[in-house]
Amino acid sequence: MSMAQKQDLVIFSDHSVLSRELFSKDLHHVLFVTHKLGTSPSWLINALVETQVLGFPATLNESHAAAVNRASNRKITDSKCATVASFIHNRGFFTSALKKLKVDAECYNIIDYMTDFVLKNYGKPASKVLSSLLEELSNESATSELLILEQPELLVHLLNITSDQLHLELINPLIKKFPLLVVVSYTEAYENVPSDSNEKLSSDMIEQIRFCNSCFFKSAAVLGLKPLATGHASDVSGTLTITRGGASLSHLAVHVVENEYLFLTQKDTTKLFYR
Amino acid sequence: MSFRKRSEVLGAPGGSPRVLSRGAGPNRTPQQPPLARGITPRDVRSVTGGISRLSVRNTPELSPVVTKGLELDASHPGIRPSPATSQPATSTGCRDLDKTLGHMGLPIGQTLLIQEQGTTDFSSVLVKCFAAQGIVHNRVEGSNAFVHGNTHLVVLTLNQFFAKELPGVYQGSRKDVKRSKVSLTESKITVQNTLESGAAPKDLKIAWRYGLNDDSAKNSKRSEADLDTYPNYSHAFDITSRLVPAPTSAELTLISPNQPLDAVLSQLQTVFQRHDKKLIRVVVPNLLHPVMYSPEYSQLPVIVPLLHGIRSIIKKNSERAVLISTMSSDLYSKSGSQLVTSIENMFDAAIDLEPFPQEMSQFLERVYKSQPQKIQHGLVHLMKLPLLSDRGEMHVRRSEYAFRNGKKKFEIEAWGIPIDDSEVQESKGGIENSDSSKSQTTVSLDF
Repeated sequence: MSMAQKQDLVIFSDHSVLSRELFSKDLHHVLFVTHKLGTSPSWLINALVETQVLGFPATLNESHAAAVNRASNRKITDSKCATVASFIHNRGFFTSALKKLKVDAECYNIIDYMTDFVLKNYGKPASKVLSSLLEELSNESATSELLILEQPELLVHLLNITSDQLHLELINPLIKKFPLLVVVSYTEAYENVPSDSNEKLSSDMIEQIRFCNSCFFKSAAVLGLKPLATGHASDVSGTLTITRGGASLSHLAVHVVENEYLFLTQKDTTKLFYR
Repeated sequence: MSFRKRSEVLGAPGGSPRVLSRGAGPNRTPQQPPLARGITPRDVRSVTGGISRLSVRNTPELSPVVTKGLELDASHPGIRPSPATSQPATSTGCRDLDKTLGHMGLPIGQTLLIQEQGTTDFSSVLVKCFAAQGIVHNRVEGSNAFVHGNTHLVVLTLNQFFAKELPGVYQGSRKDVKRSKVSLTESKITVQNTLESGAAPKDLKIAWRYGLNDDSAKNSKRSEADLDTYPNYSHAFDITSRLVPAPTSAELTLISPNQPLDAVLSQLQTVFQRHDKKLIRVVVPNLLHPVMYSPEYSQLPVIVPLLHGIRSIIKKNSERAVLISTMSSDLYSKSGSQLVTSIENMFDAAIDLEPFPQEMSQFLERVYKSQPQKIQHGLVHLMKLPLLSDRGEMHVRRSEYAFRNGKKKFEIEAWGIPIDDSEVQESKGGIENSDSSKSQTTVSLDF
């Protein structure tokens, strides 16, 4: 695999990761990133932030040293910053990773919904918490064009709400605020649905499936990260599958390029290969 | 050691700016007296003053390199850098688990979930070793440790006797224990010992003859075997013994999980505030065990906020906290429910213990008839490794490792199905029989 040719990540037909077409008009789009046990999406989130800041995922496919060497030659695009809001990782997790990639700290903003979220919000009415979250995140739209929400589905359990309520009171309003919203979701349970359809699904499982299905329908593209079905391999970490989502992009001049990559993540670097 | 040129100013940052004249130039300050060619006694005094200031000034220059949290733990006996990421890690009390996690321990600020299938309770051994290791680290400094220790243990359990159930440090084989006891009683100043002291040289002779007195060689061997650089990092624990004296409230805090969520979290936070300069090892044994946790805890809207809150506290104190938790995965089905996957998601690392079914155990007993110490007890499945999995590396490894629980250690090793000698012999026998039927016509060889 080390001899295999590395491939650039392309999501849209203009050979870009995040096409400028998405931000050109007063339009709003969603990307949905799913991941499973063993394939953490942190490298993809970092690549998306880098794309927003620099115009392309500079450190993807590069060895760490080469990426750092190239960092000085980069030019920051005039686009607005990116915001990452995570319900599972704290601020330090992202800042240390992006610092290693030499992304300027002024070009992105991290909102930490992990630290003290329960202590601050436990027992409060869910709608109130959701509205305060919406307000805080909406304020970011003044400076950011891209919002990455990591594991918002945890709110279903943290606030004891339904997935519909989460979509109606948080996700949908956020879609209207940002030109591009990326929802990153952990879908390990989604595919654990028993094959025997007679077995009764638990209510939390139904909520999870409902949340994911809604995201599928709303998104223009779905980026699925999953490990190889054969298990661990030393030269492949997993597959990245890019498929079209339920939302149409016919109003734009670009479309989603469906593709499947193999990727290998090792020591802070990720390389992509064709399947 | 470097030598400076005479004309260079001592104490100047980098020592680069040169002052050529003694005249009161604009650069001349009372803190940095210049040295010119003609050195007078006053200059010598000023030079020594400069050197003393040098040493004072250099210390704060070094300190910013070490971060605030690490400063506390720089000399902690239970912390060493991870060979994989060079982040500080602490021992889990089981050397093989330390190795399996990829960091020679559990990195500070990380959380580990140990799941166990079936009705066995091997995970409790790992939890107790983890807890006992913390207490042993705390006691490294001697009697002072009870008040000003370096480690504190927090256990979320209803079991009030948890402290008394911790295993003691493995003292060696029975012979070693006996020998150490004899030497201990001999070293005591008693009437009998002083009377027998005359016979000591004779004993020594015999001891020398049998090599018993050759302690220095043994000690050096042991120190070579141990990690020289981190002598108190990891210990072996004897699960048949008990840690004596049992940890007190100064070393261990028990928090009942059977109370409102905010009470659990606030108690945990208080512990972190009270022991602000210690490494805090949090243990959550038997998560969701029906004896300890009320039925509503098995609902996601209750357990997820609890784990999210605990995770938040650990991450907030990520420079001095680690967490280990165990859970029986058989109690909660993985298919059709999101509970187990959601709990796994809340931890940075996860492993799964799968004890062998009876047929497999019987097979291993038969194969290792002459080497019963080699019999493994189950498989270890790796789900997530701390730090490595979070950055996107794929570390799900099922059925690649096996574990064996012994008196002195919990071993994890690469798994391979052993060859059954009896089957091989049978098959060989079959071949030989067929050969012998053929070889009846040939001439037999003489040896």
